Amino acid sequence: MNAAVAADAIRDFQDTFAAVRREIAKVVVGHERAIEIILTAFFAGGHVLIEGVPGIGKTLIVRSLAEALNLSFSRVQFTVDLMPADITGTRIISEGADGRREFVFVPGPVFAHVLLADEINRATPKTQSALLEAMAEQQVTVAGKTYPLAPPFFVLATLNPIEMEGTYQLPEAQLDRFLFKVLLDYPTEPELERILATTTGAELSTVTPVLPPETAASRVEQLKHLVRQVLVAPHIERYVAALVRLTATEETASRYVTYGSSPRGGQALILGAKVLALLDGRPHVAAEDVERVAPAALRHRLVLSFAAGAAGTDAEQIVARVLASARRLRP
Amino acid sequence: MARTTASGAVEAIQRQVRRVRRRQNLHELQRVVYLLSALGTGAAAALVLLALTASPRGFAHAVAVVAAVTLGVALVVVRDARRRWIPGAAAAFWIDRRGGLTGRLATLMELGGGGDANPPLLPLLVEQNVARLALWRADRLVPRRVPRAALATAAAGAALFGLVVALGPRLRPPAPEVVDGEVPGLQLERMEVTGDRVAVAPLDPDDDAAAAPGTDSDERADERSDEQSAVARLRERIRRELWGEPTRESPSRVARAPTRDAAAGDGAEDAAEEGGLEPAPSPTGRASSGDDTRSDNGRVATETRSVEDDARRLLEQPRDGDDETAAAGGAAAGAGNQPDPHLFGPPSGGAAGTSQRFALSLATHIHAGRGGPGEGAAPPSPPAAEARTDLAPGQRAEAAVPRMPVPLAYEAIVRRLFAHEGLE
Repeated sequence: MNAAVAADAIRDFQDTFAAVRREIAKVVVGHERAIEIILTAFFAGGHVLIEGVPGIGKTLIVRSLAEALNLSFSRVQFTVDLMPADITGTRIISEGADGRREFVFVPGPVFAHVLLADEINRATPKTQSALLEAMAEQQVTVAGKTYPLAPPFFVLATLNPIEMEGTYQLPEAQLDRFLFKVLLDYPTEPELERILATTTGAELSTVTPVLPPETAASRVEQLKHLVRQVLVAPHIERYVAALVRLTATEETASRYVTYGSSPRGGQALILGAKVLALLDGRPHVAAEDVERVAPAALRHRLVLSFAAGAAGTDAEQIVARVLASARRLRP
Repeated sequence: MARTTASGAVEAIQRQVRRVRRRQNLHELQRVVYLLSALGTGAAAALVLLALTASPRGFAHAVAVVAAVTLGVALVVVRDARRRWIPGAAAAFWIDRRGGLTGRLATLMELGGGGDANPPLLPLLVEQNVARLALWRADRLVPRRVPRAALATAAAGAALFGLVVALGPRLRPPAPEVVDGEVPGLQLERMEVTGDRVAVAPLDPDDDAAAAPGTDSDERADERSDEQSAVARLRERIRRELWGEPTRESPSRVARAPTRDAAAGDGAEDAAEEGGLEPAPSPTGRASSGDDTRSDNGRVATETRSVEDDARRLLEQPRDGDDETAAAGGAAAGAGNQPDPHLFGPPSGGAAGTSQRFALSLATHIHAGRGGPGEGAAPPSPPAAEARTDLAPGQRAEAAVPRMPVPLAYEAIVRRLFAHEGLE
């Protein structure tokens, strides 16, 4: 790839990203930063955990993303009685034309490009774990048979932070598989006015697909491949490694964090930073890119101690402290 | 072909990196040299000024303070320079930050060094760096070859030093008035001893400073003198360089004051130093003095030898308490208001030229209580039976003072003065 081709590829990536963002913004008012993080995770090949109170547009964002990219979309409302097979699919006895009966695999909702796992913490750990294989390896195994998931595969799970009764805390292993965790805030007053205006009128805004349906998946994969090709210098890798280590060893972190970030946190930092580098028109990652994605990439990977809760310190503050300490290590 | 072009571009970029690094480091080196130079000249100016204006003790303290401050500032300057110095490995990062290249150059320097891998986006990175070469030219990142502020500081330091040296001779104060406590009619106790007046009188034996040679106070003074001798030499040298060779006080300036047993002591010394009274050159110092002072020095040496000979001769005569008159219960020689004809004991010899003080031995006994003529010779009466000696345990018994330590600065004056009174 010569310089001109690379520049064109980066420009194409920027255009696609901007177009998807623009389409989502037609129906989702506000949440620009959250949408950018979600799209970043999507092109980085990761999954996103969204935390926010009901009614602020979590489902709408995910649905709009799928529509804008012209990808298949499915939604699973997680409840306490949801079974793993309800997600992955199951084998049923089907009678053929010749009258013979045989087991046929009926794919579950996980067989989609974009999966919305709504209120994932309401399902039992067993059902939650059914997503582990799909998220990590992009395949599911039913009755001993493995079924690959068609790329791109993107899981967006939501958490409701206010109704904790009857919920199951997500296992750390599953939390770690989400590339980013996004916090959706309440809309501001002007945003709320715009939401009321756009959702209660006679004509509802709709999303126009950015990519043609027949090539959408391959185009997305192409863009994801470009992300992987972004250059990362050794000094950036050292910086990310130091950042990850600091989540356990930094002064504040060592006081309030029981377990720091896993190596997956470092991967999330670099992958997210690569997308941001492309958005900035650069073929390489800079330390600033890493710092921009750090809160979303690290906040859900820190296991806080009781002392943190007692002191009113949350993961967000610890990540901020870690970043401040890490800046001194920048070359 | 494209790879060859890319490698050529990388080499050009590396050359520019080296140029920027060289220029910045040279700039930094100059800055350090100028700042240290300014620091040195500033400290020297302060020392010269202090040497000309401060007392010996004040100068010693000031030297310590100036040395500490200079050392501290020099350390800060050097540490700052070390922080600013760009090692080869860090040059690309420094340029990256200064040039706002967002990591482009640093990444290229780390990834573009060669290797079998040919990342697809590397040519684009090279191209972006080449397009931004103008942003980080050496003359753009380091606009000035010479650090003007540091140079101006160095120049200011040098100018300050020159100013102090030039104005130094004007800081020389007038010689102080020397008041002799032997002359009747004046109340020396009521006279204020100031920087421009020095009182010279026999030392009060009750004064701690008047203890016999070999006492603790003398030893401490000698130790202190040894410790501060280097600083004192520095001060003397600065004064000599700027004010020329010291001159002795003219006898006409010696005023007369009523008889007083107490001398001004250390306070007089400091007052004399602050007032600019120059010590008479010691015999060894005289040997190294210039031609202008040779004849004068020779005269003083002759006078000193004459005084010492007289003192030796007088010592051979019967002493106070030994003569027949005293033995018969009469007044001892030298009693009353007449000077003791046996005033001088043997001189302290070489001590006069090597110490800050010299001791002029007195052959007569000087008593703290200035009583009648018989008191000096008569033994102290025994305490009364009802006396309670424990009520005054700290009271000192009368004791003879065979030597009187006198600041070296007044050696010539005191010798001449006492020689005159004693031989009259």
